[in-house]
Amino acid sequence: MSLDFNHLNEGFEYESPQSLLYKFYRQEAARCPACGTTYRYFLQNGKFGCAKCYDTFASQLKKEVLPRMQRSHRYVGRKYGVPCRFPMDKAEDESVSVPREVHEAVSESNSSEAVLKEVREDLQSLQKQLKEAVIREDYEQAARLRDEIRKYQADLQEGGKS
Amino acid sequence: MSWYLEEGPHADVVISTRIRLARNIRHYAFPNLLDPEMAKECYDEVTEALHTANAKMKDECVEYDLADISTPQLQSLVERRLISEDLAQKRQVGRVILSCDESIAILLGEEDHIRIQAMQAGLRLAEAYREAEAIALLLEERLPLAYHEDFGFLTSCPTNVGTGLRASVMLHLPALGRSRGFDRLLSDLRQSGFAVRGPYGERSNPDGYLYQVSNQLTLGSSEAESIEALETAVLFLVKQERKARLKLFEQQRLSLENRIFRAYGILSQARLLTSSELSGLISDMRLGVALGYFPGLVQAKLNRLANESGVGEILAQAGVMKTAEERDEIRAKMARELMIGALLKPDPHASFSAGLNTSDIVSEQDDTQPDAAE
Repeated sequence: MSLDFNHLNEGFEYESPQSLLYKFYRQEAARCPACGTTYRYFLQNGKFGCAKCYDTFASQLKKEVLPRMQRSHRYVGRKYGVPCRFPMDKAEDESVSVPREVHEAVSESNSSEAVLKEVREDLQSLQKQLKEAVIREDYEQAARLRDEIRKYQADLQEGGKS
Repeated sequence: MSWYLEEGPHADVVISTRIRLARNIRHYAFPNLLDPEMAKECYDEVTEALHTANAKMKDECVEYDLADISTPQLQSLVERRLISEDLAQKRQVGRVILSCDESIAILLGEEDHIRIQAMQAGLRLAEAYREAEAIALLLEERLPLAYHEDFGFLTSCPTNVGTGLRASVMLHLPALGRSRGFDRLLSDLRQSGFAVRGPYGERSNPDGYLYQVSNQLTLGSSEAESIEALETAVLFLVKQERKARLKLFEQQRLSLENRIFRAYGILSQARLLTSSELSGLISDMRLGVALGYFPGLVQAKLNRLANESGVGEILAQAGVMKTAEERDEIRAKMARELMIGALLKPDPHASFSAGLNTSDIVSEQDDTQPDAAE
């Protein structure tokens, strides 16, 4: 049986120089290097100073702040630059924007299905971008997107066959 | 034509839908730490990006530096819920970009660098979301916006981090709001992750039986999930409100009619009306129109009166200083003019001369009657 004296320190006001140093270090560490916001300032004001704060205070956010505010700290929203999909317009979208050959290619090959799915998703996002480019009359961008889409479609057909 | 002059879905209960997306630019400090010079540079970058993204934007939108406009104009923007009170207080650096019909407002320099707002009459969450998202996507493409793999879109306050989405619906609940179980219903809603507030944001109390219901969570729930959950909650409230109205009509018809026609009497005859008195009377009139007592009136016209009779808007329209009494007089005159012909069934052949849009009125009645029978 080993003896443990740690509990003797409990309730003791005295702090060892090491622990003070550690605390000081922690306080320093909890200061955003980009904007100088401290964790203490955040707790008082409820606001961060810059985007970098989210990296600086990531662990406190996940452990202390977000569980209280949000009930979850997992982001499940849309990816940067990719439109959000509503369940109700999903069916319509697929019939319109994915060529039938792609569907067939995907269903034919089981081994490369995951890869094909990824390519298909990229293709969809490209087609959406193309639509938007046409709407805002940005024809240079549209032409570029069109060429890229053709390349993807060729890839998909090849992938489906092999 | 302003967005609120249109009659939206479920107009008998739902006044308006609003979507707000919060975004920040990565390499600038958030507005609370941003000094005015940097702020100017930052917001110039945003307007520049919007102009290059869409050449039409320049012609179809109006941009206001809040420092340049008069105080009544500023107040009018707050009253019509185009900008928030928070932005109005940051007048030195704040800006707003408004679309012609005022359905889109891009607020620069509030709590976050960019807040995109899309407004629609009635319950149209998905449509309003699409409008706001289109602008967010344009900006995401052209500017380095603050985005984190784990946290999503970064905002000044972590209550908005993630989707940055606040979807809210303004409801008129005169029957449900007076019923006994309503407080419990509200606390149930709050527990299921919705916020319920008075019409002008966080500070005021429900006024004229208007309630704003919005999603509260921006993490752990995707944009589509948040919007669908809110839509379900709102449709539930709409159904309950219609039931409560029917109950009120069946059980207390005399006192209900008394209240509605007293409101009509005051609005059609009064010479002075304060804005708080007016909002109560408009509430009674909205209920009267929904129950079909005023065939010559539609909800959209009451919404317009509510939107355009605030102190700031009256002063902004007048262009000169008016005393409180003069403002009350102008307000009463607006109400009297609106009440003309409210009781009359519009004659379909005379719709041009009467200046009433009869198709609106017919669809309004179609909307309310089958629901009341449920």
